[in-house]
Amino acid sequence: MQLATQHLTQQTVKQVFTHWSSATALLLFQFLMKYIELISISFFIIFTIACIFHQIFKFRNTVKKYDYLKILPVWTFFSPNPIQHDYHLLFRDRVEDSVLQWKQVNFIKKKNIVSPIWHPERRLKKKLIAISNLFNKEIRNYKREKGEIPKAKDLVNIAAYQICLEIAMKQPTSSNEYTHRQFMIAKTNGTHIPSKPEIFIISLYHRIPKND
Amino acid sequence: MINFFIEHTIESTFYFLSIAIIISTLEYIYIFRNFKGKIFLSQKLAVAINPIYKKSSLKLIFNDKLFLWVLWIKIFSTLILLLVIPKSFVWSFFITILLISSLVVNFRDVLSKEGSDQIQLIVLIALFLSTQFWASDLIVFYGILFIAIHSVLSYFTSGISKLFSLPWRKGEAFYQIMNTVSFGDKKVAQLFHQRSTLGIITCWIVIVFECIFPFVFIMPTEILIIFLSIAFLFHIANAIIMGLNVFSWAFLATYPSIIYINQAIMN
Repeated sequence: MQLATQHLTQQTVKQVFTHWSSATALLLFQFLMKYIELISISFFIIFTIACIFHQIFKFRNTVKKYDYLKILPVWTFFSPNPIQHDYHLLFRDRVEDSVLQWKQVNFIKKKNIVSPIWHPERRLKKKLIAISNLFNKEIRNYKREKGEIPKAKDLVNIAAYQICLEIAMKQPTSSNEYTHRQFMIAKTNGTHIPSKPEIFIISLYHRIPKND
Repeated sequence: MINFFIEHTIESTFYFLSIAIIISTLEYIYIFRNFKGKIFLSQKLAVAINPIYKKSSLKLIFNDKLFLWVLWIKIFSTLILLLVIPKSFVWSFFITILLISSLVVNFRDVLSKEGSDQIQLIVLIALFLSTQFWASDLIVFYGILFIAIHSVLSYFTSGISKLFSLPWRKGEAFYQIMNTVSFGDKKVAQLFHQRSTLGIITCWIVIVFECIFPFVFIMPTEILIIFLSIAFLFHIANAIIMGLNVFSWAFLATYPSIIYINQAIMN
């Protein structure tokens, strides 16, 4: 069976070396070729074995330690636990005792006719899920270390909190009177068939930076 | 068609892969221009999540402005490769650039990566090693085998994982996914809410289909073509209903290798 590639390759390079009439160079080239071939095939085999072990939950953390380039995949695709929650980032403003209604930060546009080809917003939505998972991880770690559920002030310095705060702070204010802003991540158990939203995380009030 | 894929395995793999690379990279550029995307992909976040980015050398590589340039370089090198013959010197140069830029983007996106991004990178690594100007026929064969094995592994692992999952076995998983805004669809969610039997049938079709995927290596040619067409239609349906638009191209890029290996075994 014919291999499916064009061959400006070994043969050509070999010919060049032959024209140089250097037997040593040709030998060196052949040795180098075998060496590269061996390295490439070894890589294919080792990577595949690592990948198989990476799929098994028990070995995943061990294998991950050696995945310096973060290229090993996990092929579980919506399993074993299918995604069933939507996360929503909301914010509200306050001045003294007056507090406005919660407003939602939009992450995803409604799917349209071009979505099967072009759909960049899904990456943003997926990142909000990842941020919520980061919060989960931090809450679990805090509970394990201190034996209690963390309050908002205990989470202020973590990356997930800072990201949500930064996004919330960039949302326009309805009036300059409002001086403080709070954000919340709400979780719904599916959205199309409505369910009662749960508060996943709620922040402290933070001063809104003045533009002028 | 079979003969075309056998004779042009590398080329057809790269054509499909290039579509996936161009769409996903343009999507990165698009969301990077949006302030929310910029925050999610920012160097600040990368440093906060992974301490390795605090190293001064990496700080330069993963600089926000440079990241945008890396994305454009990725597109540029893909376009050049579409015009060049595989295994030429120019090809070797640009596929190296493409691999390096893809690794940088992969390393930089610390929050979440999609399966389509992962399979793209695996196919690209295989092409990088097996299509260099010095590559022997043996490496080319191993490269094709590598792509085929990883494609099969992805479907099979996913199938086994679903088989061990209670919501999938009970037929609830599909409705649960469809009921989310992130990946679902209101009309489909309503349909599956009303007809639970449909959910059970759909879940089990997906489980069985993914679990028997390794048989692609030993299927008769006609059945293989039907099987891979169903797999592609499955991805198209996912693109339409779930908005997973890049998966279809990224996984399609692995099918010529599956066909090649199947024919090598069957003949």
